[in-house]
Amino acid sequence: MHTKTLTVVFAGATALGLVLTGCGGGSGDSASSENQDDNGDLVVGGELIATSDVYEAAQEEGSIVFYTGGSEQSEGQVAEAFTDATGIDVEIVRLPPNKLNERILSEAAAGKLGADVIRTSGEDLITGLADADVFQPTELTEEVSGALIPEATYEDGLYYNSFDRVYSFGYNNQLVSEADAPQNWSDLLDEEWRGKSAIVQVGAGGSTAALTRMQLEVLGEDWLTDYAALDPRIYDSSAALTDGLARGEVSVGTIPIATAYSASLEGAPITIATPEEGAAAYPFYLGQSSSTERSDAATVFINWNMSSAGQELAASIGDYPVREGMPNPTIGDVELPAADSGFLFRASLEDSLEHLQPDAELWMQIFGYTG
Amino acid sequence: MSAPTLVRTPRGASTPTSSRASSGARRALLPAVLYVLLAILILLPVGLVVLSAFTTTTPRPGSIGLSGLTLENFRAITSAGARQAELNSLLVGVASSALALAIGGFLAFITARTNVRGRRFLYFVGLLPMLLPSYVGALAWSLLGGPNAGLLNILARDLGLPAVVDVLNAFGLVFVLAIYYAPYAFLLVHASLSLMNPDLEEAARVHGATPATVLRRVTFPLTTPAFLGAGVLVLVLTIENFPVAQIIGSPGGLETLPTYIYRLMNAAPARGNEAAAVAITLVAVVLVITVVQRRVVSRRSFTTVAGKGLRLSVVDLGWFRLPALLLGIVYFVLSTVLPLLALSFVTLHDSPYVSSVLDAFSAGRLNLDAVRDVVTSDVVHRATVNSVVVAVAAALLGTLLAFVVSYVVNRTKLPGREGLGYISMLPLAVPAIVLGLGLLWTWLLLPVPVYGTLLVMVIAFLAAQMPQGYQGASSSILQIHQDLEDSAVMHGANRVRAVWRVTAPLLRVPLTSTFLLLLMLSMRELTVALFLFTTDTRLLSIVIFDDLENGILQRSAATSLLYCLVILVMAYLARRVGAEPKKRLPRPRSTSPTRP
Repeated sequence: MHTKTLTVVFAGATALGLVLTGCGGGSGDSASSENQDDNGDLVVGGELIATSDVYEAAQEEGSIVFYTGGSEQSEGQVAEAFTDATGIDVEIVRLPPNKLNERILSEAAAGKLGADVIRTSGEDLITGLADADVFQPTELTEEVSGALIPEATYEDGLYYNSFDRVYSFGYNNQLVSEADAPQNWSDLLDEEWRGKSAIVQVGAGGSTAALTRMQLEVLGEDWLTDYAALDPRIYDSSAALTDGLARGEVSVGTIPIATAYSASLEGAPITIATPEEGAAAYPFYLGQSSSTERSDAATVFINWNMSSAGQELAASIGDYPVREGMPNPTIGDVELPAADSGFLFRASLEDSLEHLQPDAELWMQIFGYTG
Repeated sequence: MSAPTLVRTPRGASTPTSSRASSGARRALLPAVLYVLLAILILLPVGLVVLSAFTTTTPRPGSIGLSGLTLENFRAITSAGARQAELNSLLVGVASSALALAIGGFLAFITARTNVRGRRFLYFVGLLPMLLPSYVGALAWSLLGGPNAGLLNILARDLGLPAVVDVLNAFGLVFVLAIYYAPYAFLLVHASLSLMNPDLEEAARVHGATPATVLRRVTFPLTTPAFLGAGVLVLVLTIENFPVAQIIGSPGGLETLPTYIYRLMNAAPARGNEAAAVAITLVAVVLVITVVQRRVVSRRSFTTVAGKGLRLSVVDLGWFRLPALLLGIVYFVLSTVLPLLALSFVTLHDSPYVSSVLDAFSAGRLNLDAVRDVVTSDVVHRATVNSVVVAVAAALLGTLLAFVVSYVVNRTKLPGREGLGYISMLPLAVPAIVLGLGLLWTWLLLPVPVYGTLLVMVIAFLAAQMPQGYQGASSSILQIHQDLEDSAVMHGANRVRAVWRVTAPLLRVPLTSTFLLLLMLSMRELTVALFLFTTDTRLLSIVIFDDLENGILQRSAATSLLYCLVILVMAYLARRVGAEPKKRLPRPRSTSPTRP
């Protein structure tokens, strides 16, 4: 009986060991796509996304793991549309850019990077990742690359700006009637919003850095000081703020337009403002990891994102495309102002990097935020 | 239960004639192996945290060294933010421990020693929140008691009433911590009250004391060590608790030391060195508390356990029998019923955003979509398997390691054995969030490819739960008389065989309960794993926390329900498979702290 027990223990331990060291791989989904032309090339919206050999290899690979700092809802739409178009599955791992960054650096340092493709915001973060050799160049098809604005390509295709997201503010339309709703940034200083408004801490990523830059540059330091005096709730990430706003924990709050709009498509009672003073634009960078074993699928994913199909999808949830001749972004019935209309405040990469640290320190001081 | 006996072994019996030198080397081998194991498991992570507190670079492969030594990081400790966090941690810790002791002590007293109505039910009520991880409770309470969108407040609005509750502040944090740590106080005090020597009370009664006097002068004083032990345990646990503070405290701008460390680690770029400096402060606070407690308890002797059959007298509560039950039910509702209802309601609601509670029922806005999403989600499947595998492995290996270490410390005269005991207890003073940090750096640096596998989680849990395993194993080993094993050796068995055939079988029951304890602790653990998980190795607790941080509250609630169910099933199975570990784990004699 003792031998039997022992055998069972050993068998169990062995099984356990197997489970512990190896993890289940992905499932190969080689569904052929309706977007293939006669040559087997992947063509979406009349645009070549991948040649037949790349596409076949990508189908073989079956799926990609996508690390992103974008919101779960907006990336969910991207993943769904991409899988529909290509038959390649996307597994999203979403974290706020600051946490994502630490995760990627740790995993990469240990040779365990789980990502095939990475999308994140923050100039310091993206250059840091590039310096850590996290990316490898992605080759775009001529049709895709030819249509991009020149500023969208970084370091010869090591990574791309996949779209500009815009940071504005919004309100819970169940708690705030349209008549009482704030229209401009200046309206947010109304005493009415004391304790009912929210903002995301400055260190969350490129988004908050860009917002702070815009607020300091366009609205002035006094605006931030007055806003801080209204005792806003400070969230860790825009995703969490959007949820708090939708559930009514706060009535008004700063939000990335696409994040809030994607949530509103899922029923979040949020109305987004397009303030006269403008809004902050910040790039979401996209690149494939240098350690990916699914480089073809990653390449197809990035090509699709930069193609008219991917860019139109971005525009349809309120992000500004990086291709020539694309429509202005819309959120439902509302068309956002053109990119060159003065609505967008955009800091250059150098400017962003230069102001990052002093802006963050000033912000934390103004809001009495620990750090 | 017999009182522990002293080890008194005629050493020569086990090592008859072999040469002295080789026997010396052999004797040193086992402790040496254990030292290496514990050093890697425990000392290295703690050492790295200390090291990085004094350097300018975050430990990552290729960037570790003694270059850039500095004291600059410690400026983080005295910054206004950190000072506030230190103060908050202390105040919240003390207040919630006091409340938890009051709740746990009251429930323990009425269930152990009185004729309260529904005694068995109340015992169950006192234990039940153990199965609900504190941060699931915190999540549920943030859903219930948010000042504007809390379900209780929405319900009040539906009924035309003003808002009734706001838990997202210091009071809420104290309340939530107290109700989820009360079971620890309950268990310790209950064990103490029900294992008490009735002779002492009997003597008081014989000499004419009234029942109230007996309670005041004999019974309650005898539970002092249990109360102190429970108090320190809960104080340490609440001070180092990260998730509850993050979920309940942070939204209201209330920062505690663990959330402060977490924020420094997640700043972009990460401020790991300052985090380490603050972490050392937290360790210092916890150490001071532990030392004070040991001083207080060791000053007097509190004998409560006797060898004779016990028949404790029952205190008649009189008119208070029913009110006591009602108080117990209030605790039951607050700790278990309302939170589970809130999680279920949010899970079943058709939209993640609830604007009216009553409408949801009248307009039929409840469905099983979110449940289906979670049950069919690959991520959740993988996380469930990961959680179970890691918990079972960590509990098995943890029990084994604890048994071996404890055997060496308590039953042998091998060189350096005391040190093993101290190292085993060390993680107790190191908060989970700090240990997690150290473990991350350790396993990124060691040239063993375990980061990114489930193995690193098992290792982390082994380290974090070594004190609980060691204490459980030690108290069991001390119960069994050395003579039993020695006589097997006298009759010709070698030591290993004697342990395997005599001591181990006798220890089956107590070791099963150690295993069960480690299993539950591993299933509930979030904080240690927080810096260690990768995409493939997410545990259920991590998936819930991630969703919460990503603002996907509904899925987080749905996964939490599944998580509670998995924990319940595992607890049930483990109890069925193992022996009935009735009221076994915390012995009143030792003031054994346990991590949640």
